[in-house]
Amino acid sequence: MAKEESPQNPLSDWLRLQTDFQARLADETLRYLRRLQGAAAPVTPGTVLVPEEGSELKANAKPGGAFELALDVKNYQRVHAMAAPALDPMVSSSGITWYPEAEFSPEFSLVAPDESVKFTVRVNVPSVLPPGMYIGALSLRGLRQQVFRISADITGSSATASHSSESKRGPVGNRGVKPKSAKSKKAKKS
Amino acid sequence: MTTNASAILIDTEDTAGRTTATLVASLAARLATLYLISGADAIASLTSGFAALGREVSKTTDGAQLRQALSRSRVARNGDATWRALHIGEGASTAVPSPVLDQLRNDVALLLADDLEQVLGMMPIPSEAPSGAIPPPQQSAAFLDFVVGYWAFSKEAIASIEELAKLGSSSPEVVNPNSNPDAPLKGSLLR
Repeated sequence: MAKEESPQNPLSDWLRLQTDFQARLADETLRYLRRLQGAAAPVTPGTVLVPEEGSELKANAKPGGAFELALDVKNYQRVHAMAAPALDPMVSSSGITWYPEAEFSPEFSLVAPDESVKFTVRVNVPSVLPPGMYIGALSLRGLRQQVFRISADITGSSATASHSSESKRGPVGNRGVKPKSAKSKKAKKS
Repeated sequence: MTTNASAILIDTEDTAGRTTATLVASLAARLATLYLISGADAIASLTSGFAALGREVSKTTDGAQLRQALSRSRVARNGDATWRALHIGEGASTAVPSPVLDQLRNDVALLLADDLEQVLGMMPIPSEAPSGAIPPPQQSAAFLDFVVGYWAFSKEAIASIEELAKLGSSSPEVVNPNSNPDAPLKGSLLR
């Protein structure tokens, strides 16, 4: 028995291989059965977002300014739908990531059949944001198979443009979840 | 400067679509499935669904900021440790993700349907036959995926319920305790 437990014993290696194989087989079988169960799962009727006019939103703003985007959504389904807009982080060609602070109006909406809702997104551009072309996306929560590309051309300089070199060190506007704290930090810096 | 885009919401291709009948049938099928699977399977599927939603929402600014804030604190470390020690992630990663957001939206739509009573009178309604399509490959369900997904789901649930309440809200009434007590009572309750 002592010889069998030795790591150099071929029987011990064989036993280990067999155990690993059985464990792996059980794991893969479980995965396969789960996937089969998924194929037989009850169907959940879903929603698809299809762009009608323009899937690209263009904006122009100065650091410290703001720009607005609007998205009209019409419900062609036979029951109510729900929509909530969301913005992705915006990235410039120089690699700067900007987490935009935005106000959505409305933030969430129930859309009755054959009715439309207009979402307005007001994006505040931080005064420390270096100029450049920023690319991001506007999407509706849960419907990310279709997003609207945003290209925001941030040109010119603001009164606090001297901070731009400092802001290149890291993501802009990514200083916490609460925008208020971010603002207060900026105020302290200036 | 404002730029506009427009979009439409339509039914998924090659399905019966979202109607009151299909939503009732889907809900009934979900409830019926609970008798066929174990509690562990159901919870794992829901957990996997929240994690899938969390992965999606983490791509947005709000989701990414929430995730980063959580990952900077001990919340993420403790959560990950619990997740690993109790093998929650293993179960959730092998389960088929439940489309939790679609299910919530369908249930809310049912509450707003004007023909619900009529449709319920036609029960039982057969559910749409499963497509038989093998679900997409599994992705490992991480603790932060689950938390962000649960946050997004809860946000949607709160917003939905508040919107539903707005539909029945009216101007606030003033109740005056000094109103005339001799005023005749109206209604059938005190006949």
